[in-house]
Amino acid sequence: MLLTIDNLHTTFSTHRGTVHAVNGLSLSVAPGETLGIVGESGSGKSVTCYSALGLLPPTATTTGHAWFDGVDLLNCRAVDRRRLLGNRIAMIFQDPMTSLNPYLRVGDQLIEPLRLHRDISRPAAEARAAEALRETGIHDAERRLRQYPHEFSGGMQQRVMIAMALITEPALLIADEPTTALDVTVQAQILALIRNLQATRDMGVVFITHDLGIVAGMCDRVVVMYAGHIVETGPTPALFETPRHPYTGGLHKSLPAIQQRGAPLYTIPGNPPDMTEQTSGCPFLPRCARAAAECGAAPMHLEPVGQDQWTACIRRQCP
Amino acid sequence: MDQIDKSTSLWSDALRRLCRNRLALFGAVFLLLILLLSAFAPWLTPYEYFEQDLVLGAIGPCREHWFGTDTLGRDLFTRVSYGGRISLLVGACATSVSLTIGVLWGTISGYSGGHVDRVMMRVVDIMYALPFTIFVILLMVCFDDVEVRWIDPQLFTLLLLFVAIGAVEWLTMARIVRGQVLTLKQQAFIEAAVTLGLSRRRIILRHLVPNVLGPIIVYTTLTIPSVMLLEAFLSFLGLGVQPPMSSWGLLINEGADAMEEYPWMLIFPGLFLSAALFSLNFLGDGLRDALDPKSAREQ
Amino acid sequence: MLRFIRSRLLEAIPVLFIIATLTFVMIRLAPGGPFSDERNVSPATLAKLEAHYHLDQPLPVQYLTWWRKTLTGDLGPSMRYGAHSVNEIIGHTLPVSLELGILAITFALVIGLGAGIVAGLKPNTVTDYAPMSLAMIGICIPTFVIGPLLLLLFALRWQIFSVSGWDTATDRILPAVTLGAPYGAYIARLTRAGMLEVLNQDFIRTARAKGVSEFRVIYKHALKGGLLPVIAFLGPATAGLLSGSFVVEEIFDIPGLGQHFVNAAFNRDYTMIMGTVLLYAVMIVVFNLLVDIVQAALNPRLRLE
Repeated sequence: MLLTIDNLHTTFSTHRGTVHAVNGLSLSVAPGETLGIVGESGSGKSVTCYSALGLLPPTATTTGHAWFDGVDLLNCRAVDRRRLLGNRIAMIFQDPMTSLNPYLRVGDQLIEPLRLHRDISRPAAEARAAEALRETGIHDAERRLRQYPHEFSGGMQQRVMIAMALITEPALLIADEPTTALDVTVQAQILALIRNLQATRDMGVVFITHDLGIVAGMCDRVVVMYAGHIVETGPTPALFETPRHPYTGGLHKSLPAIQQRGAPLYTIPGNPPDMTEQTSGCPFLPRCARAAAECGAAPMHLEPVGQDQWTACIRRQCP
Repeated sequence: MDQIDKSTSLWSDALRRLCRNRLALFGAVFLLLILLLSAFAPWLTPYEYFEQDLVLGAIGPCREHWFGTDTLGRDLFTRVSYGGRISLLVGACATSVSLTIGVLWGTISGYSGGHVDRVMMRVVDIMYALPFTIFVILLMVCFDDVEVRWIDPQLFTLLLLFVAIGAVEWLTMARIVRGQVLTLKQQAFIEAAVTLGLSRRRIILRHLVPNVLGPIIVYTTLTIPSVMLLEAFLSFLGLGVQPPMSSWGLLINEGADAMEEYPWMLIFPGLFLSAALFSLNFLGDGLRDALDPKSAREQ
Repeated sequence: MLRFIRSRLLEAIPVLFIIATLTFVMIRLAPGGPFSDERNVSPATLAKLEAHYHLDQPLPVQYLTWWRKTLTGDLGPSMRYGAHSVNEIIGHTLPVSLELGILAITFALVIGLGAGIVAGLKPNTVTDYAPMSLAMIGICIPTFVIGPLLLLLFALRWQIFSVSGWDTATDRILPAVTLGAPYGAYIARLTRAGMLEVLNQDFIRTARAKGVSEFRVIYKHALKGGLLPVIAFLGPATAGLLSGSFVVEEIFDIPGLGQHFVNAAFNRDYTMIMGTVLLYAVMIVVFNLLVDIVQAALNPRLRLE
């Protein structure tokens, strides 16, 4: 395994109380594999990844383990973690317009991971940066390196982010909703780009998204999150064909493409739970159609239900 | 209905946030004390602010003279209290002048829009570049000894102070008001189009005006200390009210001259001025946090 | 960039014109004249004096004459210090005021940036509250209270520094600290706010995700954006420093230009007033221009407009 997260808990202290963002989550990614993490906003998808990489603000408290290359990212010295970040592990973010530093030239930002993690001269790094830009489909790369982020369109900025993430040829790429801020045609281009680059490098990818369509096209395996818990996980085809958790089923049904034209859009009833309260049973209970008394009592845990498929629903046999 | 409920609770919300801010509350209480002290000065002290006792001369704080006396034997507590009247009066009046000019200018500019707006804001831009303190000094120096028969000369100096300082401090106010008017214009249009069943007037009065008023109130509170500082600065240079009248700046000037032997003459008025500025700044910061939580984070 | 500078300089011309004209009108409207204080001056001598300084000519003529001479670089003779020209007096005293101003702003920047960055890195902790409380004190205690107090303590009581004068290097310390303190306090608040704002931006997270060290995150990624409000403040600050130096020069008895300005106004020294006001206006224009240039250099988005 490339990355193994084990029993991750993340809490935030806010003025409203303690928010339990991630509650005992475990997952792993293999080399060359694409793992999708799906869920509604606030379900803890992004926080999981930020926790593992130590990118959360000081108000957050994280416990658990995140093993990568024999290093526990959650319990090692900051120096050791920084040696891996931007080097063996790279990340791209949701909004490229705010994620690039507006005050620095694109070239300077691109070569930064190389200059930090590789023994490479500035001219050589710049040549490599130009090459990386070309690989992501940006023409006139030498001139573009001298420009500032605001001189790029949103799609071009995300290409820069990808080039920057991949410039050190990382073993693991974490993509946090990389296409949410882009329009649909650009979205397809960016996804194809990530897919191609991954295939040529045998890179592990964690793909955070709320878009099941993207999951179907991109991911080998899926983790479905709800209220900081994994409620179901398994290979993408299995999860799409035989969802065993009502939440997965609900997400699946709310995909507009699958529904009949003209029929009202399906939505899961109710709202995501208040994360400051910790319930003993299933957090999805208030919104669940097949809920029963036993759901509120037993603590959640994943159980195998098929070929590599696991679910947390204890009434999975019910219709 | 939800919207309206939210707007009526805006003030009570703000008040609750303000009361939680201990520094701001402390500032408000202290300010009130200074105000009372100045207002009731004649009843709080047996001395007159001009009453000299040359035989006594300058003596340190004692039971008869809490803050001591100055070189002419005048009671310093009395003079500081009376000085507070001038300083606070100038603070309030000059701020009103700047508020009036700023609100008029900003409202006309923002409401008219187009060319009028562009020209009026350009004027403000250009005036920002003028060395205003220098003009205030010139104004005070040059017109201080104009012979006026229709009015008491001390009162004339005060009026001159109001106008001179007020004329300087309105630029930022005009910008803020204009910005708020623009927001109001935009929101009034959208809200009125969207909301059904509630009169437009009600929406504007209960929802929009309180919201746009916030920044203006906050900035006004923060203008008062800078106005008082300017008054004290002018008085220190000898350009404000003249002895035997007293203002904190004037007392500090006298104190600085005599501080080698009579340090209390500097310390007490300095303490009062600083404390008043402290209180006003804390109160202003607190109001900003309470009324405009977004900008509070930026500051 | 050159076009930007040129357009800003062109914009400054009407500003300077307005300032000079306003000053001229104001001081001539005011009662009294440069020789009205002097006793024992016979009407004949007065007439001769006024003729000597061309004060007997019509005001528009005097105004135009002043501009003609000023544009050739001659600000005319001082009407109070008859033997000296305004150029001479400025030449003697301006370097002193400039030195004081530069020392004060240097002090303000060092203290303000240091305190502001320290406070901004760990908000709502001791290292935030302590410097920010100090900054509040610096803003609320006016220069003309701090100055005499410092003098009282360091020069009179403990005799570490001399009471007045501008001779040795140590003479510079108290005035520079007094003049710079409120600006340092302001800069500290602005720096803190700027750093807080920038450190919450997404691109800081990007930098951390690249494995950039905390120190490099601050100086390479955060500082440029975080300092923009401070740079913007330096323009108005110079204007404030100029007027602040009047008070500091008076308190510490420093032979600078500030005292001359106030005295010239008291004495109705027409040429001296016009000369100093114009000089201050030019300085403010130049500093504002410098600030704009630095801002454009730091913020690439500004450069396009």
